[in-house]
Amino acid sequence: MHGDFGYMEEGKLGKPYDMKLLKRLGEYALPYWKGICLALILAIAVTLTGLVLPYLSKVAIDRYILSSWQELRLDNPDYKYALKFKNSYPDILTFSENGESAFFHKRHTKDIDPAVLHSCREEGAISEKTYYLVNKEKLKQLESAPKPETGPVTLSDGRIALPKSFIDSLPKDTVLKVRASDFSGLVKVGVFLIFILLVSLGLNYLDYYLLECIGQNIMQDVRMKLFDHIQSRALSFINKNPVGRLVTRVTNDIENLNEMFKSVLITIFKDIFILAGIIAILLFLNWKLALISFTLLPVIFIFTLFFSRLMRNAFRTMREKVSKLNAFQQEQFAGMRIIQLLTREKYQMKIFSGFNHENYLAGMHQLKLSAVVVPVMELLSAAGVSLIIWYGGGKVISDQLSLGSLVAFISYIQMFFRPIREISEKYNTMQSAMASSERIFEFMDNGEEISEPESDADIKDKRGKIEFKNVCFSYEKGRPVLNDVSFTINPGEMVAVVGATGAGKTTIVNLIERFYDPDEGAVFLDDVDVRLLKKEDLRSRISLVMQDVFLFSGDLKENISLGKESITPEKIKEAAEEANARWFIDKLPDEFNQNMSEGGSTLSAGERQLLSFSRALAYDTDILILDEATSSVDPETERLIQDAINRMTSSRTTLVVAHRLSTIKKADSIIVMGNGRIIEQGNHEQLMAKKGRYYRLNLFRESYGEP
Amino acid sequence: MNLPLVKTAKDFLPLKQYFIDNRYRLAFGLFSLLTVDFLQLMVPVVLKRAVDDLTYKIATPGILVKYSAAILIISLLIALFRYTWRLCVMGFAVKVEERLRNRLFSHLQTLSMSFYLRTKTGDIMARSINDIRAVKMASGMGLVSLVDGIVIGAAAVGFMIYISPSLTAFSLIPAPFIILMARIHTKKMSRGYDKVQKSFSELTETVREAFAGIRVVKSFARERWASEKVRSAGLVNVTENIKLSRTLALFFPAMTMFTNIGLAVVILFGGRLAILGDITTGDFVAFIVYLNLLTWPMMAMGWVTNLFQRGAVSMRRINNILNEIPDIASPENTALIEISRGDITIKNVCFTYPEKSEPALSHINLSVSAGRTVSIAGKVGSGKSTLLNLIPRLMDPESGSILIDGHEIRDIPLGQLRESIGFITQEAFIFSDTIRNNMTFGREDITEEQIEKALRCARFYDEVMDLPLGLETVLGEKGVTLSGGQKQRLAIARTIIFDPLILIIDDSLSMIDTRTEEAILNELITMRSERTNIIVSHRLSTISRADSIVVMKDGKIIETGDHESLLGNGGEFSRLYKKQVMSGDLGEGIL
Repeated sequence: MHGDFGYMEEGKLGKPYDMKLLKRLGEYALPYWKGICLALILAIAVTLTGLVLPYLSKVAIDRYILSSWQELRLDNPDYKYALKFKNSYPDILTFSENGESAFFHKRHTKDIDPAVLHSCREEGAISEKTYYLVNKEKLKQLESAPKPETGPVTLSDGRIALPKSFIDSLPKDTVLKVRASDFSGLVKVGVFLIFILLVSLGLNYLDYYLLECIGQNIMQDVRMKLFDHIQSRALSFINKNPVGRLVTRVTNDIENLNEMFKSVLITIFKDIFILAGIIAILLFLNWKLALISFTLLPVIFIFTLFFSRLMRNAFRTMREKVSKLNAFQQEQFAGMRIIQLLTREKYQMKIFSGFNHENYLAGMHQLKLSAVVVPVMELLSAAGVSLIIWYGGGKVISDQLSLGSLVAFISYIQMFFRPIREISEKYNTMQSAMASSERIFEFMDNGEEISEPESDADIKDKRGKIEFKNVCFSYEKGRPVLNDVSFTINPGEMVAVVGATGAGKTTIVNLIERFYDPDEGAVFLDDVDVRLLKKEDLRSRISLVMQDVFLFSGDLKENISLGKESITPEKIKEAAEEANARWFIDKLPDEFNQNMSEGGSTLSAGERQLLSFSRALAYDTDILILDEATSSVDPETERLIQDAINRMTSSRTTLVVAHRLSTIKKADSIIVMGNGRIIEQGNHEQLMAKKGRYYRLNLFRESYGEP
Repeated sequence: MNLPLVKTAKDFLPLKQYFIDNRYRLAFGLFSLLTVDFLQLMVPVVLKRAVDDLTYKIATPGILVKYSAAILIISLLIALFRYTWRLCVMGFAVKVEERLRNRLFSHLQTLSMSFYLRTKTGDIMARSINDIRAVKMASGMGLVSLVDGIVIGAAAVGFMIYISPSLTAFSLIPAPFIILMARIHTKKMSRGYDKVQKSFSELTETVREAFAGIRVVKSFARERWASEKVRSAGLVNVTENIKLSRTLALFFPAMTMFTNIGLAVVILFGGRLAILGDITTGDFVAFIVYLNLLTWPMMAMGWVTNLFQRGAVSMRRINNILNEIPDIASPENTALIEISRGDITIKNVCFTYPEKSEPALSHINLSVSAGRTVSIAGKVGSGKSTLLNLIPRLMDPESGSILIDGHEIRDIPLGQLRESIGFITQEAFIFSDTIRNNMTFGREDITEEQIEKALRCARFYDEVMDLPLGLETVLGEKGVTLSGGQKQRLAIARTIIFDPLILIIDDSLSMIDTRTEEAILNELITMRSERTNIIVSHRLSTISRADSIVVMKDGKIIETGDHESLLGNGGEFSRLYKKQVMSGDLGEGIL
């Protein structure tokens, strides 16, 4: 329903990216580079805050919840590796007062060379026993508690090492006091987390909003550029394209572009950044485990690529089916009366249910595919988790990985899948956006134009004389529509052009208005070749009244003035009066303010004619071109039309493409066209006396004219 | 709370049969869904045990393999059952969509002109597309999310309470906010989307108009005006989009924030409990996973209510149409009635359009016997078309009766009545289909000769044959576009192909030039000298060939007689047409 007019151009789909097109699109983004840069910076910041979260839970676990120390004994000269340990990692060690041993926090274990660690364990310098370091002041809290089995060791910084098992056995309120620093640490992590969340919320909001504003503005720029471009093209170009297609370019295709701006800038960029961030963090946490879990990546990628292609096709088929169904229904409901009159309900139902079933099948097909994709993605994610438990768990056992890191690893792996899925989904959008932009630029690059003269000529004596000199013209090569046509309309004269459909009557109008340029010969206005006049100057001297009257939405006033400010409401009323249009306008509920999108359809063909006369009269030009309507109206309205025509033509240079004998008879000169040539010319009496084609045509009508 | 729920459920009543027909499929789907939920809750349990074993250093590589294998197996089962429920439940929704649309369509076909006069095509389209889609969403995603959300939500909370009731209480503090926000925001979003969509339609219409009226714009050199119109329609769309983006920009990040606040709470209080030894580290980890599992159901609860509400609104709108009783229906007794002549008698018929005060027809009496050609003349709005529409029962008269061959038309089966009348409307409506299908409408008993004869009679045969594809030429926007006159000739051909007893021509030759019109009418009248013909036209040449002329004005018949006597008597008819005769003007040019 939303304006595709049955045109679903799904056939051609572009590459997901095309550098040339992207470059051209980039030109439209250029004015907004500052905003875009800001948005990118914001996106990076947002990603960073997102990546911090699992890391914070790791910190909470390793540093505070599972806080404990291990002892490195240095009191035995045989402990060779212990010495090496002491020399290699002095920063993480806190020595006891007597220098017999040193303590290191459990979270540093993974930093130590596993070989050294292993050898230290072998030689007995490091035992499995864990300790907890307590400040001297805190020790007072423990006086009431039973003493630990092994005596406390005093450290060089004044802290005292107590066995962890002893701490764990203490009553809860004592633990609270002894491990106060851990609790305050947790509070710090929690508060920091909430702070990060708030920052992330703000950044996210700004980023999204900013990008939307930029995208929308760029879109409006492209749209106006495209619209103005198409509008300024020659009619020959515009007529070659069905209106539906032109509309799709300016609306739906541009909308697709917007989707791309958004998905490229917002999602894909962010997703790639998240992926990179996760990869970096995983490598930092434990590069071996990271590499092991990356073995899943190719599987994910292949699966995603394979299925996203299938899904794309499925979606495309679905869209095609839906648009077919919609087009059919649109027609059906508009033509229901005809269907009922012809009793074709059963036939229509058969076709409809066929389309509907096709739509159902397409929906089911798409469903079957998507029913596979989501579970498989989840399965792969679970496989990642189980890989980490198996391999990473082993690392934890051998102290090469902290438990908190393992948990963080699991969280990050689960985070990994979303961006991959999103990127593959965006592939779709990218593809259709690329196809759209290709079509948009194709339009921007092409399209004949009726060129403006390099220096516009000035007509000093505006009398309103029109002259055709040896004009030849064809819409298609080899099919001449006008063949060596010459005639002159003198100022104030009325000339009628008559002839069969396809004789070239309308083409004459097109050439005067410079909707087209002649192939040979020239058209002159006041003895100046129309090609030397600015199009706007030329057209503002001519009023064209067409056969089929086109009404714009907006009120009746606007339909007469076409938004020209110099045409005042008074002038509009005068014009309507002169065009005999007042009687029906006064009957409308809102008179001149009547909205035409609602009321326009209720105007009869005759009333529309009179309205278009008002339009021409409001512009009050010295030249009038009148393409008489062929359809019959009731005699009453017909009389009003005739009357208005008489009044309009009396003071202007007029060319009438005539169908009514009454109009023809009044013309100063009649041009009879046939096969692109002028067959006869003269006034009614002359032509009747000549007994040529005009006479024969009239004979036919006379025979029915008299009762 | 209870009442609206019942009301909502009632709206969905027309779908009852679909639920019954698919009960096994649905039951199996829901069973699979529950299985998935159950298995999903098992994963954190395994994780917890692995972490605990690692914390207490009792884990061995062998145990770890077991745990990782357990996760893999559970996930495999999850994947399998997830596939099944998606197929069963969502497939059900797709089925509902098809059946409901067929039902709506076939019902729409039975509704009379009066319905289509007061309902815009766009509105009907919206029912068939958007509203059915909303119902599909409610019966597929809505149903799933509801069950899924409740089950997994309740179970996850259960497990959490098992680990630590106090921690559960703390960590669920943000939950009401999430549900509330989801509800408010999804509503806001859908309103925003509607507005965006509306402004986009308006933009499309403005652009369409600018291109359709390009000749006017160019000839009056008003390009700037048209451009300005498009620009301002575009700006409205831009503004609506930006307005919507404010809601979107806030919604998802805020959702993430609220769920993560739960995480902060768990770290703060859960960490404390873990240090104190009230819960194990594994519990702590499992708790975080459960909290993650809860995010979706919490968001879904807000979303689902909106989904059902939208679905209910849409269902109500569909029901409005489904409950529309066709005001013109076949008689109870569907036995065929003998109609062989085609005499029409109109007795004292009155008709007033809804919401109009003036009657369109008042006390019309007219009879046309078989073998006669009657012409109706009159100004626009005099009631000619209204009278004609009553004969094939496109509308029923308010009072009075219409008889064909002495039978009240309400007693004749609708199909039979309409098949015995050939009605050519003012506007020739042609379907986007081949020329052949536009003539036969799938009836296979029509021979090539009949098609040719009808086309020849309508003076359209040669033009059709000149087309490269001939009768198989596709018409309409995607194919060949016919001119107004061509459409009218095709409409004539498709009507006379059935050689109906009664032929009604409602000003349907207005765009055909006089000479061709003459030829067509001559042949028609000669061919149909035994049958009944009623012709409306503004052209004197057309009117004059009737056996008798009926002149209408303001819904009444004011003059009857043959054309000479009417022109001579100085009445309305002569007033209307004298000038046309005097000037020798037939309303149509010399060619």
